[in-house]
Amino acid sequence: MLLHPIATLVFGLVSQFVLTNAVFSDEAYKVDWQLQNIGKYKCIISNNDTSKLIVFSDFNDEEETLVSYVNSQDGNIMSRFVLPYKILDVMRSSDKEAFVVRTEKNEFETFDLNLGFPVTTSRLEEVFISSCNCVQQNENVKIEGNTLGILDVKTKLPLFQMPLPEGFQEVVFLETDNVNSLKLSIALTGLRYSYYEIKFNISDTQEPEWERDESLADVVDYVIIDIKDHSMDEIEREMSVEETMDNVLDAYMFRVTTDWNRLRDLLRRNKYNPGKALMEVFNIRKNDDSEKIELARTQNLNFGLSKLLIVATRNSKINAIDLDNRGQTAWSIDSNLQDILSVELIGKTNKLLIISKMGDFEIYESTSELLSPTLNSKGSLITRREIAAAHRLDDSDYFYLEFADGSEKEIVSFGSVEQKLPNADIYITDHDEKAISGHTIGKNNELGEASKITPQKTWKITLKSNERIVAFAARNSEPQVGSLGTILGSREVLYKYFYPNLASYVVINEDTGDMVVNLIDTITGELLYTQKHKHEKDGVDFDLPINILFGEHWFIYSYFSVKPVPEQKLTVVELYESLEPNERKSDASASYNPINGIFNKPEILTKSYIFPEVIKHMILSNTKYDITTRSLIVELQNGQITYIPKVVLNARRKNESEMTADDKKEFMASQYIPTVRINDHFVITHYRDLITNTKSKMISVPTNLESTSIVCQIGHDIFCTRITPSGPFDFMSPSFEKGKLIGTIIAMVIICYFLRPSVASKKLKSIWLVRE
Amino acid sequence: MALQPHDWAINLVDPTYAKSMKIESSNTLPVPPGFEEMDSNTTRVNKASKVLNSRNIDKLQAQKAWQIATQPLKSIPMNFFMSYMSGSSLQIIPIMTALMLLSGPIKSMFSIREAFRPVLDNRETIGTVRSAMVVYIMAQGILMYIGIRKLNEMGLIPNSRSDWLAWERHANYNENLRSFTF
Repeated sequence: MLLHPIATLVFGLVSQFVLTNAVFSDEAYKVDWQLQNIGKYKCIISNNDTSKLIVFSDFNDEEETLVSYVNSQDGNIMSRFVLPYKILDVMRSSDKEAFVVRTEKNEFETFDLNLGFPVTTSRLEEVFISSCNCVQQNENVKIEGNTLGILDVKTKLPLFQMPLPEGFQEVVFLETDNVNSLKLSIALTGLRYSYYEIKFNISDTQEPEWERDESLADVVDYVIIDIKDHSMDEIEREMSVEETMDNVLDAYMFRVTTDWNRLRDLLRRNKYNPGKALMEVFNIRKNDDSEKIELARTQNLNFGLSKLLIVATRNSKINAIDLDNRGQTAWSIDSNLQDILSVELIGKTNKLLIISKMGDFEIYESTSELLSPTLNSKGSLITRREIAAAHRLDDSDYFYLEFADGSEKEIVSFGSVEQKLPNADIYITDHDEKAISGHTIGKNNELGEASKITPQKTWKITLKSNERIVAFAARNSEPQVGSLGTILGSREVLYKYFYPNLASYVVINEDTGDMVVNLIDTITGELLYTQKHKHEKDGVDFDLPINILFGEHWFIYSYFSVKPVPEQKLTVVELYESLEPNERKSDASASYNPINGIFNKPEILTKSYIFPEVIKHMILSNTKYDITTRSLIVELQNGQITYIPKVVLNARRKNESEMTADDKKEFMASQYIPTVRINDHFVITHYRDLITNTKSKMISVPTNLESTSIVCQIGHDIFCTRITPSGPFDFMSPSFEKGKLIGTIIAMVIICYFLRPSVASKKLKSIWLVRE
Repeated sequence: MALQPHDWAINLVDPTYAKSMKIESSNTLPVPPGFEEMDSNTTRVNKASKVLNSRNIDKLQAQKAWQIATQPLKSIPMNFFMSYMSGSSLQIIPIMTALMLLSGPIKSMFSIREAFRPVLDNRETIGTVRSAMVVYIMAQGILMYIGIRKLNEMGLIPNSRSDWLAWERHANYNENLRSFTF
């Protein structure tokens, strides 16, 4: 009998703990989203009962093939996998248990029809008949003009006819029993696909079951637009009015009257009910779901989490994807340009600049970010050459153009210019596979007669014929810096090296198999530091990705090497003014001219780490003020995305035996352990199946919350999530019990109110020595 | 007939009355029965013993002065041990004890005359008391040193370069120059 209440208590407590979510799982699948794409459909076959459609599409510049299983009821993707070769044709085997693909080398591979597993068969046992050309093979299907007709098998009389929708391109899938049912998928313009299931004599409506838009599978460029928060506009306007006033008293009176009017309006709105007014002020009245969603949206707007990802696709479509609304398309416009190269925002406005490879451009403008913009102006560059890359010069509206034919680079502007170039000597360094070259345009920052500036060459590093640059990373020329130095355990300071004009790059020599990592000064081209991985010692594998990135005062590169053990390696190189603590070589009051060369060369510490997965691509997390620990966001070969805090990849980690007592006192100090593990909590893709191609990009976008950064993977699929590398330190957890807290405070106040008289009387009695 | 006030009332308001009152000294009163009359010889003996006593008292006072001076010295081992054992982590209790170690000696130094009051009014021993005071101050200094060391260990004294790092400014490498790297 005694056990019963104890058991209740224990289980009650346990249930309390179960209710609180784990830190990392509470937002999974709530704030992150993925747009799964298939691409251009090459062939569709179905399984036995047509519940699944198997779609084959070209992938990675037609070098590979993506096989997708699509639910024929709703068009959702069930599973996908990539075949590492291009296929020419597909056949459904006669026993309807497998499908066979024919590769470019005329080889045949067999897969299970329902599951997609490879089936090992020695050779093809039947004659290969394509299952893709469903219309041509079926003589009882007629497409004439804009109608599709099904003929009766015996009489050849039309059994069924349907008009084809506007934008019809071709029939990609058709299955009919020539009696009463038709299953049909057609391609429409703009990479849209619709699927129909029609019973001839039951329904006359010929609405598609579902439609898929595949245009987002081929994103060429993107830009992020902040959705502006207009809630403070009125107050900002009032403050600007106040600033124009000469008299302080007038300004004060103005503020008091406007505030008073606002309060009066609030009260009037709530029918002079103070409780209701307070509730409106504190946003308590949000009860039903739509209001809750609205509240969440305003909050996200305030916190800068509401953004639009504007993407330009290969087929000249501009789509605005709402990051805050699970990737819903906010608007979509068709640009008239062919081969879009780049999408940019002009200045800090909502004007959208779209540049094509041939130098044509269009500017779109709208009053609000969420409204579809309209064409404002268009034009083209005078010189018509194919542009290889257009780099924006900082915040200005000038672009540094590299041309495909390797001719002289130019600085141009496209149409309107809102932000001019900084009034300073401008130095530009660019690189290609074979060379790095420096340019300058001096202080003459006006576009001349030819409406362009041709930069002068200053220096050039040319590689040998068997060498090439595989990775290149430059330091941000105006880095936001948190602290000037690293504070050691002994409370001394190791000064970080903050010379801004630095670039690091990886060169491989395919003949010798050596890999060299260099650090150069981008103004003079001077080599500051070099690190070599010899073939005999490391044996770097050049077939696997090599990446480099430059952070605050360090750069990190990743490579796969087979010696001493085949592992993915991450090497961090940290630059310090001096390795001697408390020694600072740069002087804050002096001014330096980098053209004369650097007076203080960096002193270097380096360490290598082993990572358990092959790293395909990596970027650095960005936050608003760079206070949050920088993290490496890493895309793995297996399609997952994870992140590694920079503190883990620290060049100053030592073996435990070498650590002094002071070393151990340092913040986040840990001994050197060569293996960096993947923490399951840090895998931000969770269980998602992410298909990325070789051109896919990752971005990390800062928000108004210092702790939070939006990370997107834009490639074949589009995936976005939020990360908080130092934990969500600036927002309250949803489980924070504000009700209990406020309740306790109110209870305390009430208790005080009732206790006060009794305490006073007790004090009085004790003074008068009265016994109770 | 005018109403005459009572005599006691008149005397009460008369300030001279109290002075004019004849006070009979208790010395003149006869000794109560059973108590002996004091002998005139004893006073002489007393004087002799007083000289003897004052020498004793000087010695005693010097002793007392040294006792006062060395009292804080005795607490040094205990304080040292306590500060050593409580570690250098930043917690409110160790911080409070360290601050107490710092403020206690300062208070004691300012109230040094108070501490030595019992032995101060002797002109003969003043030299000894002065040196005892120096020792006292030194002992308080040692206690303070323990406190300061403790605070320093906890990193609460801004005496290292890292404490002033936030005020150091960035060197401007790129004056009138911008670089872009692609």
